[in-house]
Amino acid sequence: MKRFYKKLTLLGVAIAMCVSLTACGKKETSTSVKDQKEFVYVPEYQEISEKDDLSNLVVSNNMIYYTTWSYDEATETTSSSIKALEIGQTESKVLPIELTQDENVSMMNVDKDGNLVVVISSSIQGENPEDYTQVVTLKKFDKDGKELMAKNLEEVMKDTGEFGMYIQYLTLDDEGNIYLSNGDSKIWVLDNSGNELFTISTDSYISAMGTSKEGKVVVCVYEQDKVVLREIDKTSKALGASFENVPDLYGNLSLLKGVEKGFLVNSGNTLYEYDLDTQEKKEILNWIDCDIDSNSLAAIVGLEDGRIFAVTRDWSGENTKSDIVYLTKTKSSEVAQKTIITYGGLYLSSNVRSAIINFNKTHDKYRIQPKEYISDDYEAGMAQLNSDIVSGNAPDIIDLSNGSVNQYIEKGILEDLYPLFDKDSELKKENYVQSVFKAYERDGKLYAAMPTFSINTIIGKASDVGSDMGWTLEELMALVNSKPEGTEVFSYATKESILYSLCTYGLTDYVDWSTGKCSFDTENFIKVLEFSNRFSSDSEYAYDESAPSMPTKIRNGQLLLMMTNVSDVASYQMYEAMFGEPITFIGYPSSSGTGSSISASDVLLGISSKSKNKEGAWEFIRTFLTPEYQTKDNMWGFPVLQYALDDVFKKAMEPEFYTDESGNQVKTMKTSWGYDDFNFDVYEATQEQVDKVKNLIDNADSVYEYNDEMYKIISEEAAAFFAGQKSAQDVASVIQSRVQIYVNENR
Amino acid sequence: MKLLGKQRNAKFKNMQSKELHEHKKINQRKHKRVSFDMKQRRRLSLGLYMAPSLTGVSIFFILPFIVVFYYSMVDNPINNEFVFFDNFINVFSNGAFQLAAMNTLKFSMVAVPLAVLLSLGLAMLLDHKIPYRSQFRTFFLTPMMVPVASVVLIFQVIFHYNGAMNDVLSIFGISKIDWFKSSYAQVVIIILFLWKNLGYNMILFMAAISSIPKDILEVAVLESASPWQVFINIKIRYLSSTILFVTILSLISSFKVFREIYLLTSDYPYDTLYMLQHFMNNTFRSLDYQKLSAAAIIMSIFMIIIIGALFITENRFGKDMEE
Repeated sequence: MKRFYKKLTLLGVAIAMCVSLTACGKKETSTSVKDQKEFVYVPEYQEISEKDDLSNLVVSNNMIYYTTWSYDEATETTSSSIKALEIGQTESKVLPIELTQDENVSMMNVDKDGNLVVVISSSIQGENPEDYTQVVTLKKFDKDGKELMAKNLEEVMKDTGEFGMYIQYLTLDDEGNIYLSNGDSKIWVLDNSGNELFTISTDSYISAMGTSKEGKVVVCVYEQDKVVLREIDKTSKALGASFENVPDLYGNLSLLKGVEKGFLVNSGNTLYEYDLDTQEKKEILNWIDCDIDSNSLAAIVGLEDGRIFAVTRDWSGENTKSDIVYLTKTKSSEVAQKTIITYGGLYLSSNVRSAIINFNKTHDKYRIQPKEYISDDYEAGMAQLNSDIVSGNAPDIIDLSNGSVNQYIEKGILEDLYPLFDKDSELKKENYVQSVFKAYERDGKLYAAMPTFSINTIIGKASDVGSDMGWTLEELMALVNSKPEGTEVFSYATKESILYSLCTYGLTDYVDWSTGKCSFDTENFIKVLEFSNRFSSDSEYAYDESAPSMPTKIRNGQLLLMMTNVSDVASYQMYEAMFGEPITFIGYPSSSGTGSSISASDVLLGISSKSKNKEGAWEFIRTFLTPEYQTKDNMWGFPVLQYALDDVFKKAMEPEFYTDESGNQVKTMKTSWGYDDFNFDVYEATQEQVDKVKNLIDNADSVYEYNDEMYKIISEEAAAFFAGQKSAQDVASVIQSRVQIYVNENR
Repeated sequence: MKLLGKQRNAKFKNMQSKELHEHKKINQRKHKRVSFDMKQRRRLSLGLYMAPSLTGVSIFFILPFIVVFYYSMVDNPINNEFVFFDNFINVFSNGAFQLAAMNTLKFSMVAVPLAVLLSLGLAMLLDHKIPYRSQFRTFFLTPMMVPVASVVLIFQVIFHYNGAMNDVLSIFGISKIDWFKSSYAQVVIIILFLWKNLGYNMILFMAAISSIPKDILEVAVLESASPWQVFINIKIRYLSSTILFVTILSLISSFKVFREIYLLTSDYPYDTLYMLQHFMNNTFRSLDYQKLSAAAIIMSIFMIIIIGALFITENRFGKDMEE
């Protein structure tokens, strides 16, 4: 018996050792660099001295051909030209191809002999607006610009219907046959002299067209719930073989001739190789890994030596800057190693993408590696992100723009950003808009930062809602009841949309994540249900085409309120003009506060509390909070840096001028807004208008956060009340019961 | 000389007995070694026979339990930082867990005794020669053959807000009841549970009743024992092991009722229907392994205590019958 116990003890010790060994092993892995790839493509840049906007880039025999377009302010004329640039050189030469002011090169390609095949569109405007003629011409030039062929496509494209004559895609096969498509459902195939061979009509939209390395011409279409490539069969003069397992692709730069076989498929941030024989895709590179913004790509060509040739355009400065980039496949071990900081979110906004690329280009110590969780649906993407977070594989930087911030805070997933602020020699937390920081502050700790913000609110005429911000549902209902029968409260309002808006923008009234208390069984929520029930349901709603426009209804008093998102002073000016009298940001009905909520207008960022590289993560986040970023022009939303925000207000009050032909300074509009039949030119704002917007920002006292699961429960239960089957009290009680469980479970 | 001869004889005898003793000792040792070898062999062969099932049990039961226990003690499966009982404290203080545990306890405390008593009663009833006995037996067994999805559909048709039950009630002027989203919800689920489980329990009891020795029952009748005395002192004592088995089986089934509730009401049901399995399922869905593991350990400890208590009870009252 003693021996048995001895054995049992030994077994226990062995298991304990195994368990502890496993733990050590895993710990080591977690500190290693994540997702390190075996090969990377290293970029080598070469600037092109081209100031004009360039497009239609094609590469043939060491030459790049492209078109440029420019506008001369002095003469108010436009000019287009086709240029050739030898690879390795910086100066291009203009080909002797004459293009008039009305002519525009819409597509260009090059055949195997090096001849340029060009589609030129021109529009001729007669005296009357209806006297408008569109001409589409197909031309062929040799490499020196000598015209070889010209063909008016009017006869070929006579059946284009409502879409008019328009060429979206142009490709060529090895025999020089020309394939044109309008991207709708038409494909025209012409011989190398421009004579029509045949036409194909497809059942679905054509999202790309290209020629493979093997010389097969295919189109990308949507068939039986999936994207497929279909070969254009010259023998049967119809779509032939089908190829599946294609990466998502759209546009002219998505289906390119492969280097060794098939195609290069450019899909968002990734470049794939697609093999037509095996119907398999293989990732070649990720543009962000190569420090290239995929939105700035103007050309991609796989060179025979295995390098990838690309041309990028950067519009961020005053002039367009173009670069040639050679991407060389290199072993990761041969590239200078940096600490990897992972960035995870559902998808990358264009601002974040360019910020990551800039950061990676300029930082020697850290490199941001993004991971997009977007999949077929929002829920699956969020589930994957959450799974990574709870399994301890959280990205160092978490993009919180898609909700769940409160849950993350309660679960201790996010790091307090204030200590990182305190350590920062440049950024001081006192210099930022405090009401915005307060939105994600808990017990003096800041868990999320947004570079720009906007305010969700409801606007009403001051004569209707008064001049003070904030109201209760009773006050809203009293206003509605005081108006004549048939007066609309909100535009395009239905039971479901009103419930959604009142619940999501007023959620803080019903859920307190800090205590876990829900208040859906209150009089207030019952009134929300009853108020929503005044409107027609989604299924009953009938759009009246003959009804006056929304601005007209507002001015006539037929429409009382408008839900909106205020992100600049100009939008306030526009709403004031649209309402035709002083307006008030009355906010969403709420039991307390102003009912106006803050939301991140671009991105909301947090750092994982489990991150091993918090300093590195902060290095990236702080780039969005620096004065340099905050004072950028054309930002969507208000900047969060107080003096940058003050500067926005100051600029809003400054008039803009232009110099006329006589050299006089003439005041000009800053921008122009249109809403249905209402148009408004925005000039400088008054101090009073700016003060109103300032007041709105200062008094926004809640934060917008969408919670899919919670709203699903609310809408599911409310349906019974809307259908007249249950009372509002019963529904509210069931919602309270179910949401309370959800909140308790997720704290 | 004679003496010498005697002495020699005695010496010889003495030597002989000594040798004999030694010989015996050696034989004993040999025998011991042989029996020891036999025992070892037997153990080895037993071990070999048991190895496949022992490996299976280790891989599929013991090892996962150890892993779950380990997960319940760490902050997350990647960091592996020991937080000891923090996860258990979090789970115990979680409102959703408290509600789920209380609902499961309430449900089991009502449904399990009912499932045992009613099925025992039915078995007793069908043990008597009543008309259509065989048909009744089949009738009570039919719910076992119906798939869960169909059971749920049937109950939805009956107990939906616009279902048959409310139609019947409206005939008597009773206003509609939201059976699945009100305090009546657990009643509906208890009915569903009993409907599904009574038949099988009843068959088990009928088998046990038929194995009670008839002579003892006859002696009891001859000794003028009342039917109640026969039931309590003979039948129940003979049935005790079956009662234990049926109770454990019903207890396990009561935890599995989540399947039906989930199909009827999805992830977040009305609070009276929120069971421990909901909590587990939802935390699994959100991949909160720590909370899930801690809750699973708590639940298993609770189950071990209940089943242990049932075994002790059974040992006290029914052991003499087994002997």
